[in-house]
Amino acid sequence: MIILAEDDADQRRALKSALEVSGYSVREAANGRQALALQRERPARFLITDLFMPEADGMEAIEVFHREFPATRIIAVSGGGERARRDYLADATLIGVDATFRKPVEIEELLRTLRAL
Amino acid sequence: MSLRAYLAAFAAAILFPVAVFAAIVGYFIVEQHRETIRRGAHDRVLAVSTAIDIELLGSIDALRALAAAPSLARGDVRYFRRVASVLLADHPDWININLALPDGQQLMNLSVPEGRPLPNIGELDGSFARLRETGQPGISDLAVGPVLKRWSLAVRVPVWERGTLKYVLSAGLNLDAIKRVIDAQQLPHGWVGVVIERQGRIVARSLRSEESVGKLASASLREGVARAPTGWFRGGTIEGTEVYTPYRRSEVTGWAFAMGIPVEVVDAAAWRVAALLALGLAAAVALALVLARKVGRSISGPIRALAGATEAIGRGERVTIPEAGRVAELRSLESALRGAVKAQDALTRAEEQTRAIVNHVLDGIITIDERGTVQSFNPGAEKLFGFQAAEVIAQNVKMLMPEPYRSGHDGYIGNYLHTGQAKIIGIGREVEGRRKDGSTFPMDLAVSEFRIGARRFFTGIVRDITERKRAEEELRASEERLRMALTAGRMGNWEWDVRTNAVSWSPDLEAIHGLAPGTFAGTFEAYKKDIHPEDWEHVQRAIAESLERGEHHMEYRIVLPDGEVRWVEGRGKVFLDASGAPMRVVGVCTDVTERKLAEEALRKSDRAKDEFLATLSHELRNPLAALTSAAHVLKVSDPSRPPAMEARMVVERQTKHMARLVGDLLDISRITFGKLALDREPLELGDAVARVVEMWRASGRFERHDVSLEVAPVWVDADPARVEQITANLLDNAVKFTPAGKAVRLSVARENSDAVLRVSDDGAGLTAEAAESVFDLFVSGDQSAGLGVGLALVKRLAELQGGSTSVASAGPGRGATFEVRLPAAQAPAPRERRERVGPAGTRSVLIVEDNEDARQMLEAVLALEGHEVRAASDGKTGLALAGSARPEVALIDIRLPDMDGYELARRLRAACDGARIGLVALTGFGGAQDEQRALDAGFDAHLVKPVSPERLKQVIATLA
Repeated sequence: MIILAEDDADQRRALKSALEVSGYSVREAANGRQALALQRERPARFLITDLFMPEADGMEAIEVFHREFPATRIIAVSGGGERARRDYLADATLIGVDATFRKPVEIEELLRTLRAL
Repeated sequence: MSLRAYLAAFAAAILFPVAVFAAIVGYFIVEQHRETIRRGAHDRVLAVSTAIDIELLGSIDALRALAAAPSLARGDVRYFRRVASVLLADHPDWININLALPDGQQLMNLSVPEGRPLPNIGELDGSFARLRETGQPGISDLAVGPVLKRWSLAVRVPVWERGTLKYVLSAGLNLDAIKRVIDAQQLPHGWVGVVIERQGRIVARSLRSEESVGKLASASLREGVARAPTGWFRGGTIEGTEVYTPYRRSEVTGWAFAMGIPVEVVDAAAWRVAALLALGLAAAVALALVLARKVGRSISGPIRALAGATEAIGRGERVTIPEAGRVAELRSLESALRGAVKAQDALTRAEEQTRAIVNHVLDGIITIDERGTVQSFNPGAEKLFGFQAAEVIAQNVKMLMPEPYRSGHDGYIGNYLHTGQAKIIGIGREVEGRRKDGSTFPMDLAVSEFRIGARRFFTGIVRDITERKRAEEELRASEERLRMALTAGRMGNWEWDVRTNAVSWSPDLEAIHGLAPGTFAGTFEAYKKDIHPEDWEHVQRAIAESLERGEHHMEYRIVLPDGEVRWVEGRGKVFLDASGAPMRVVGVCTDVTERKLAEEALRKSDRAKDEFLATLSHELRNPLAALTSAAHVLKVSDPSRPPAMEARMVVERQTKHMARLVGDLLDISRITFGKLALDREPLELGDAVARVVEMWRASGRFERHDVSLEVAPVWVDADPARVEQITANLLDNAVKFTPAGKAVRLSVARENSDAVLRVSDDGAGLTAEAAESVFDLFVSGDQSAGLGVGLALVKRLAELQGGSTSVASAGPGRGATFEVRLPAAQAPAPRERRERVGPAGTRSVLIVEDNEDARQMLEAVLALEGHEVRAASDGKTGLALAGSARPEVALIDIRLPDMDGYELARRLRAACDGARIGLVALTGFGGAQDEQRALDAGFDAHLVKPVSPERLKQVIATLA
């Protein structure tokens, strides 16, 4: 069971399909707040979240997940436009996500990571 | 009359009254002296006289007491005789006592033994008669008595018996007793004291008493005594000595006492005083004369010497002024003369100096008279004009002037002499001079006037100013150049006098500050007023530091009178006075507004570029992310099932999105380099916008928003593809910044001569500041949400087609309205309207593309359209396929491994041998140059990758 938090609909749907065709059950969230709501409703084993989203930021969502659902594995994805800014993936690693990916996410790699976790 | 005589007369005039006064004083002193002696003598005479009176009265009293003896009253003469004897023994001043009857018949006489007859003494003198007459005691005159037979006298008292004179009792006086009274006075030597009785006979005398007694005193004394009771007279003694004689006659006894004071005793003292006075006077006269002579000499000597020196000065000789001695006035005269000598020396030196100056000065000095005739011509003038003095003197000064001064000169002088109006005298001016060789030169001329008697002369001082004129000219030129440089560089210079706080600006600086020339107030405060308040502190600090460091360099803003803010770069240098204190600051200000703006723009664009690169990375990764996922789905799932179908939709949308992104970027680049070609044609704007909206709606991009469209038909002359791009970019922007469920409204309308496209939303809105830059390149409203290219492109594309863009927003969160205006055009005649989409039909299509994915995608797209598709991955294979299949259309990638697309195109054209084949170039290069090159190589169309299926369809349709 995966909760997928991503604000861009096409990306979200494509990734959801990609995961679903690989046998995962995926629930969609357009932002961190929705992801949290879904998780509270029915906790998932994985959270795949974009770091930058409107409304509730990915970082905040990760923090709350960590606190409330320590069993849930978290995979952070970044848009990768951070060349001129800080490396937020590194920050995410620091706050304890289990894996990080830079867009575009290599699906095979993501599936391998999910299996490993 | 000589000074000495004057002084002597002066002394005499003073001494005469002194002498007279001294004589009077001397007289009074002598008299005083005499009076003193006289008074002393009188006092002494009175004392002696009184003493004698007391002696006599004492005797009378003693005798009266004896007269009261009872024996006498009884008439017992015998007994009385014994009593009298006792008394006589006790009374040394008495020499005898007798008793007589009132008629003078003696009854008893102690000098005659008892019983002897006694003579009558009644007639001896008048004393008995006086006694009988007066009844008073008295003293007898000096007489030679019948008993003693010598000069004697007696005091007599009456003896009364019942009122009747019974007896006369007498006591003979010892004359020595009187003499003792005189002797007791101890008269000074030479003085004589004498007592005389009533008859003028001498009773006693201090000198030669024995001889004198009984003698008559000197006649003068007797006369004096007879005349007055007291007195003073000058007479002689019985010895014949000249004496002053004071005397007194006693009222009681009628006796007189006189003193003889030798005349020389009295007068000698007076004469001594007189002699002293005379001596003093004589000494004064002598001293006066000596002083007059000496003073006269000490004054007249120096005066004569000074007079001589003065005469010498008058003759112009060099003299030494003699010493004037000790007289202050003469010393003043001497020092005045020394001053005169010094002044004369100075005058002489000044004259010499003047002569030296006139002879050596570089200026020409020329004197003329009122007719213009040259009187003097100094060496300086000779050098200036090239004439010798001898050639000019006595000639008219006009010879030194070129025209027009030459002809005018007589007139100038005449005019001045006539009207007194000076044109040059005392003023000076620049004129021209003429040298001997006829050449002219500029010169300064200063003229002064002087008079000698009734004649008037003019002195002209001339100076060659050729060099100065040239320097002035150069300075002017250099100033002009500087001014031009300053003006060109928008630079102005200034000077600040630190001590007076006065500031002066060049007109250029005033211009920089937006002031008219000459209107700057000239104070530091006026300067401060122009400086931007935020920069003042920094400017002030820079100036303060410069006063210590010696210079400053700063940049600050100024506010022009119209409110415009401009940037100024200031450089200044401090000049110090002799004491090292700042005296003035001189500097240059440059208007660097353009540079600052450029710098600012550069910084901004640099920042924007960094942002852009980061955003570009992000923007490209997002569609790639979707595409990657979709590719995975397509790879692993059944193509007929929903996941695959959805994946294909994702691929289509994301590739379109990316194509637009890249297309926008390329367009920006083309516009930036001026290489965007527009294919303009009459276009109905509402229709074009509606098509875009339909396409977006069909692709599901509006599913989260309420999009409405309101169009009125309006024609424009525009490139349809660009209008589509404008519309799409505005929509993209609106959708991106409008939350789900909110409205986006599009409208097309004609307003006056404009066709207006408006896209409004209820989205994020804009601040006024953001609204200003919203159309700028690489400026994105949300840094995670866009490249900042779309709206920039909208603006540029609109402008390229003669239009404009604007944005209005009520503020953040309150939506925004973007507006594009294009010039409205005439609606074309119906036949001119181009059929945009050709008739559908299947074609034989050859694809030559080395990228397998691209080739497969193209194959898939074309096959889906129903075309007959063949594909090759290189040029050779492509040529071979073309030879066998004879395609109607060939899609050729320009970059091929074995030959480039242009080469292939030429060969295909050659191979087809005139048969109709549509050649389409596929390239990643979107430049107009690339397109031209493709057309040159024989291509019919030029498509930039990625190619949308619609565009491909359209191109193939047109080629067929």
